[in-house]
Amino acid sequence: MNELFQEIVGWLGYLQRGAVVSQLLLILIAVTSLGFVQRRWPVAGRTFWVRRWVQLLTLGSLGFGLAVAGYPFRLILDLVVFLCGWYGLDSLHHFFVQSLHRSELGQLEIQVLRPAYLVFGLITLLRSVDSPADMALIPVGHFLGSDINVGDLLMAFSVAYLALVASGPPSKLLARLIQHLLLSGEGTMKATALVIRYLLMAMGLLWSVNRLGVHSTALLAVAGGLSLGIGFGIKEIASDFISGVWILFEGTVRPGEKLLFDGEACEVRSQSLRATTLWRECDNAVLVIPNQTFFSNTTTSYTLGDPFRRCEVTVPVPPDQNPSEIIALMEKSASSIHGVLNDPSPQGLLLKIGDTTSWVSSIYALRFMIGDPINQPEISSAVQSAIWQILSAKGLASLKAEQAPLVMDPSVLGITASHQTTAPNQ
Amino acid sequence: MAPMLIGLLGCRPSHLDHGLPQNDALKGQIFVLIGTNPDERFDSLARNDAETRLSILLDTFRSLHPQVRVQVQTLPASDLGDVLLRRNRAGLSPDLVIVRGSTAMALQQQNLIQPQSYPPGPLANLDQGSLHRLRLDDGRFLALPVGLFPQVACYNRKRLPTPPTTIEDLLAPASRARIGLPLQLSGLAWTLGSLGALDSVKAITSGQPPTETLKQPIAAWLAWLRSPELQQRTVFQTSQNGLLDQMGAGRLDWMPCHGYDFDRLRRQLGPAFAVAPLPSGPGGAASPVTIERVIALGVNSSPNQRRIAKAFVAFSINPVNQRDLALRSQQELSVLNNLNLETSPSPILAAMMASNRQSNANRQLYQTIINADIRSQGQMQYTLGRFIYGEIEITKATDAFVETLRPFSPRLP
Repeated sequence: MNELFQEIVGWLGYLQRGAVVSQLLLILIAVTSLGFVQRRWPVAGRTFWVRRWVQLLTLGSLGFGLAVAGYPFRLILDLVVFLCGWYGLDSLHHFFVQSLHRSELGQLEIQVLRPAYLVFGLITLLRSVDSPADMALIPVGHFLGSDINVGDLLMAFSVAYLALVASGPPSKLLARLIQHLLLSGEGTMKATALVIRYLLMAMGLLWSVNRLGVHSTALLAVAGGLSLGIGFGIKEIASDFISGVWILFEGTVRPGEKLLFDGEACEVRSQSLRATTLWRECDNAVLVIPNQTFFSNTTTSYTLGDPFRRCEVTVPVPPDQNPSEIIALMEKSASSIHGVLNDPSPQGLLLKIGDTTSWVSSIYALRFMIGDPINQPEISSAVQSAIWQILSAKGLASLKAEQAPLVMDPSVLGITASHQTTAPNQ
Repeated sequence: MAPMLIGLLGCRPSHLDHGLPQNDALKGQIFVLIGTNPDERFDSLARNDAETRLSILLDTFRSLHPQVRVQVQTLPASDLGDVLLRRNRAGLSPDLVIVRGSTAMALQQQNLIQPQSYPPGPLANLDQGSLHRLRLDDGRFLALPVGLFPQVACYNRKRLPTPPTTIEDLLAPASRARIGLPLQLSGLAWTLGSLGALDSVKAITSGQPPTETLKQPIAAWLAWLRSPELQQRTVFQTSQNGLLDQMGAGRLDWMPCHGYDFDRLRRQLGPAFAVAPLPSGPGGAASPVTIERVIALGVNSSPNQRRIAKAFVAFSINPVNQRDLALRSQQELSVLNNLNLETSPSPILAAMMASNRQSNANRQLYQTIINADIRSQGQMQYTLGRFIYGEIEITKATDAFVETLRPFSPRLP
């Protein structure tokens, strides 16, 4: 480390040269003048860009003047090229804004593009003042039986950083490609992206460790220590981690999935190796659920096979009515509700024949499919309202709806729910 | 910290003078760039070896001039041209460049180093052939020689208790030596003398028409490279690094090498590492290639840095330092003619000196061969490789080989 420090401090020796000092002074004047002008007369938008162009042109002219006069100029030229690229990164917003979400674009720019560009600029500067190949070989220490030098350390850090932070966009791109090839759904695509991302992260980390020259015996020793730690302290985290990997590969819980959690319909928003984030529709809450919950408990999913959910409402009708007419009315009323699927069409059933002598209601049921399981309460409510209106218009009944417990129907691929609507006996 | 920064910037407070007269004292910082050899791998070991060789001179120089700070940078030879071009344009070129002679000539052709005039006194004892090659038409020198790396034989003492002195010994069934040879003319040039093809190569490179009489020894030399007794026990490699790896791993027992390979082999072979002169043959003595290490000035130095750089150049060819360099490094020889190292016998030095004597008579030719090898990058190697592996016949290989040699003049700028 001391050698690296001395190498860097040694660059000050270039300040003995007039050609270097004059270039640095010109750069300093040109860069600070724009900052001064911007602070004194702040502008934005097109005028600000004009000022930047003026700055670049000024610097470029200075460099050109030095070159024509036969003086060294490359430091100024390098800065102009660097600034052009740096300012050019701003225009990436316009390029990517159509294809990337705003937050994704922000992440891409702040976590990947600008750091990568800064590293590129740093290496460019290094090539002028020193030999990057030589600096890369400067030893910085000893780690787990291996000698580490600057190059190994920087390369391992860069790859690990890219694997952990920047693997998201390429994973999504690859997953999107696989989605197009296999014609899979959106949830599958998101799960695939996650699996790819975790694979990239694992590969990147392993490569980094290998680059640092950590021997396999050292890795095994670390793994042994970890297993001891897992046994005592971090069992839950390890369990969540393993569950997360298993669930991702199994594909039972994926982003976009609609499922029941604690009796409430929820949508899976995101997944990490430790926990899954759910959005609960009824109170707009976000739940962070440890992965082992899904691994060890029964999970009710509406979207694992297909996204449809079967619903059922029951309706008491006076016992003297013609069942065929009532069923036709119920089916017709449900068909007109937005969100109720017509294929398969709503199906009315007579569950129990009433008793005209004691005036016990006949019990009818209407079964129908909806495309969005999360919206089941709203759609069921609309169906019941429509039935009530159509029966009321016929003067048949005054109905009181009552939510019934959900009933699973294994005959339908996916899980359905039933709802009971009951009316007081008349 | 503060004195170091002040020193780096070339300023010095009076309290650092310790009251001594400092009118001619050197102070400030210079940058030295070492270019590794083209056939040398650039890694931590090569970097350490290169800087260790230089440190023999630098440590003494710094002890004489404690206010001089020297920053050493090492670079692969293949990157030198691009890096120097870039750094010269930025005003950040090194003050001194240490490379092999042929590389310095290439850098000079691109104006990447600064030729310099030197007083005749210190140059009087330098090898005049070297100076002739490094002198420009205007009398300035593009660089000065500082060390010689003669080609010798590196061998495994455990496998070969006695080094072979003739090619016949080397290939004798009793020797059981596993031989490594490079597929480069500069690396194989020692066999030209042993097998009697040297005069033909000299004649062709000097511009004589390639008659059948001149071609015949070259054809015989090529035939030897493909002879069964050689091929049965020889590994040919396109790079010296490949040979060093195999030798270090114990898969080879004998190979031609230079001083800058010694450290790597010594680390791997330990006490089994040994050095001997290259074997002679039916055509005469071996004709090994000696590589010159030269020192050149950079183009962007400040006047103070140039003064320090020139002082270091003069220092490095001083007889005391040249002797010290040869004796302590045990890897390179002095460039001074009148330096007697015979009084300090060492098997390694003795082998290098014997090899250097063999190469002295042909130094000009070797420069031509080295340049031909570099310039025809791939062509000679390709021809040799195809011939050795049986893809082309000897007549075609001889013609192609002679053609590769022909365009190059023995006198380079």
